Amino acid sequence: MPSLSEYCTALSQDPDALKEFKKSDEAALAHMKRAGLSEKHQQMLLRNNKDEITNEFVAECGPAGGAKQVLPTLPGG
Amino acid sequence: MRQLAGTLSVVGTGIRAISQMTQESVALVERADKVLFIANDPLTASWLCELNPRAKSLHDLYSAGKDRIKTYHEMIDRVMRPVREGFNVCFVSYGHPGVFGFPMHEAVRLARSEGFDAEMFPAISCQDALFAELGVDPGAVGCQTFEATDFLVRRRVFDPTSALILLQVGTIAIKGYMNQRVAWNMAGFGVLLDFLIGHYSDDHEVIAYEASQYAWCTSRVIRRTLRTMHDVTLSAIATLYVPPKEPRPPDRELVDRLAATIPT
Repeated sequence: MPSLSEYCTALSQDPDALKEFKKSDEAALAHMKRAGLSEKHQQMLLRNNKDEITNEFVAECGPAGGAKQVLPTLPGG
Repeated sequence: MRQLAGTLSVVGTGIRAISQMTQESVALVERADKVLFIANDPLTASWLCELNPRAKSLHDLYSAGKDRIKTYHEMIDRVMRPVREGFNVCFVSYGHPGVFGFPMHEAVRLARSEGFDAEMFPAISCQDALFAELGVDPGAVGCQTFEATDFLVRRRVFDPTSALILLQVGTIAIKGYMNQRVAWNMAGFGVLLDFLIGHYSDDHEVIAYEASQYAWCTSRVIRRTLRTMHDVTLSAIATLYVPPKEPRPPDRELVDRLAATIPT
């Protein structure tokens, strides 16, 4: 079973899967089920709450690269 | 000047996690001796560490209440240290490293001034995301971009018949840093809206835009008039897009002068 971050990392790099995922909730659910994502994470992605998803990434990966926490950044770039 | 051993590559991750980084930038991260990064989400941070296990975050330099300019100078020091030790360093920022990117520009300038090979590589900025998502073409009527605080305090001269993009509208007049996702100064945003009403009508529609940081999430696009935008709870990373007013008529004299220059 992939973690949320593993699933999302793969999803972010697959334009076809993304297209399918964004078609509808049903299509997204079907994709997540096929990938073997947990029920909890399926619901989380369907709720589409960025902060909730971000917090789950932090819980799974920890703030990578030695950071104490991932802080909001300014809209540069 | 003699070329020294250390090198500096400055790249950006784009706005959306993982999906917007160029192949060239990925390769630079993978091959670097040292990678120092500022990511705007934990997925990208984790991915950068997978690309290069020597990658280290610079986020510990931010802290609540600390002047951002101090943080930026500390980032530059931390990036330059391994360059001076002879390492090939990759400095990664979110977005485009050169757009609202003082520490990235300054690191390149400093490295070059000390005789090191340094180069910045382009990436996708939040403005690029805005062009794509809101259907804005800067070639149509031009486009002016300002940092919101600078726009106000210097009373920047701008053309309301051309598109206007204001960045950092959620952090107006704040020099420090606050660990919160909602706007750091809503009252400052109110001052900006009042200022804009003086140049447009108060029923002029504007858009508060926040590009999605995840490819599967939707961006936040809030359309309101300048008057009703006062009631919106802004995020700290919002950008304000102000569409142009009526079109500016062409200048007859210049049109005629240019017409006379066209080769027959």
